[in-house]
Amino acid sequence: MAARGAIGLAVSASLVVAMFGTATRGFSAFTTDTARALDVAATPVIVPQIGLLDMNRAAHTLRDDRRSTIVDFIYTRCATVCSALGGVYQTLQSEIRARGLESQVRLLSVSFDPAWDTPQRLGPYARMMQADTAIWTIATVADSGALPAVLQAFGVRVIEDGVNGFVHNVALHVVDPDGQLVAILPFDAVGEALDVAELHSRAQAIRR
Amino acid sequence: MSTGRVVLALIGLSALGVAILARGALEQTMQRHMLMQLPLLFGAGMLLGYSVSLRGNVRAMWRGWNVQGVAGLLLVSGVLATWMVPRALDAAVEHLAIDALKLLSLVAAGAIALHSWRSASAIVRTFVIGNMAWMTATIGMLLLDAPVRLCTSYGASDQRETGIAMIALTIAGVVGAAVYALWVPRGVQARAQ
Repeated sequence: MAARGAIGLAVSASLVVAMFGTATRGFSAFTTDTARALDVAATPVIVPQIGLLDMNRAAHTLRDDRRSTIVDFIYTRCATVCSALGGVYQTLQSEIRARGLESQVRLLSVSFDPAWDTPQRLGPYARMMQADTAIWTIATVADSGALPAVLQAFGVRVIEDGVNGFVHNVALHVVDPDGQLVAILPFDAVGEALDVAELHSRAQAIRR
Repeated sequence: MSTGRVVLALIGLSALGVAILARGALEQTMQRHMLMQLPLLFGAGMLLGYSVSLRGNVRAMWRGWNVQGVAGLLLVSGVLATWMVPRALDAAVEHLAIDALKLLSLVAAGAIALHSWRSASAIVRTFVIGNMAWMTATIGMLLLDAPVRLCTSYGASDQRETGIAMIALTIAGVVGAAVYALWVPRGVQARAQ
């Protein structure tokens, strides 16, 4: 009798640990963002190649050259987190210059709102942000049909906020010169993002 | 089966139907998801569980494996805690299969909770209520205070409002349980079982 009760309790406790452990990625992540960042850190993800257009209608991809890329996802009408992210990117830009990383790291802001953010509309935004085109590309997707796969790969979820805008998670995504997403960092982790980006760029240069 | 039980089972089935059919609307905001759909599923499980009587051998087995309902109530707490994890809520919104798991586990938890509660002593019941109150209040405060969005599916103001509502519901629940235990006559309590 007592044995059955103890076994019942043990089975129940095991089920609870299994359920809660699965939900929290083995007790390591309570949020989707944290889980995604841990997954990417453990196993880099090859991001889909997508056609991008900058304000001059010049074509770009996520791996244009031998530099690492710090990618963020924005929409230019955004008055909340994107302006904070814009400030972070301005800091990143000046830090790249200060550290002399122009040949190692570049910045890429991708709009997930191609219907509004046409190349023409990116021009004024890029000027407002004082983006130096040699370091920082602000682009929109050439084919909006390819957008969901890209957002999925980067772990970005965009939902309409009901007042003509979007709610979206913000982060700094580091893509190495081979086009692999190697780190997802908090949007204000400027130093760490530059360190990771530089490291991967130099490591790739050595391999070559 | 008595008429009362049939009626309660039908109400339970209706609650289940609402939770499934209105999935899109209920899961659109964190408040509706956590404070309407999850309780609807759990409540449906309780009502459906009420229509099943444990008799004879089944009752003896249940009592043997689930002494004082502790094993069952532990499992129920685990199911509820799991579906309050932001990552689990996101997954339920994004993947139908996970949402189906959520439905099944919460309905089962409701039924298990009802039958375990009946075999639980006052001490066990007090512990469970205290533990649940602690859990929901903590999560409410986390949602209220978090500097970042915890669910990728929901906005920041929705998250804060859900936090406030969870704290309010916890206080209401604890006060309600205290009033029931202290002021409702024992005879009425016994008939309600």
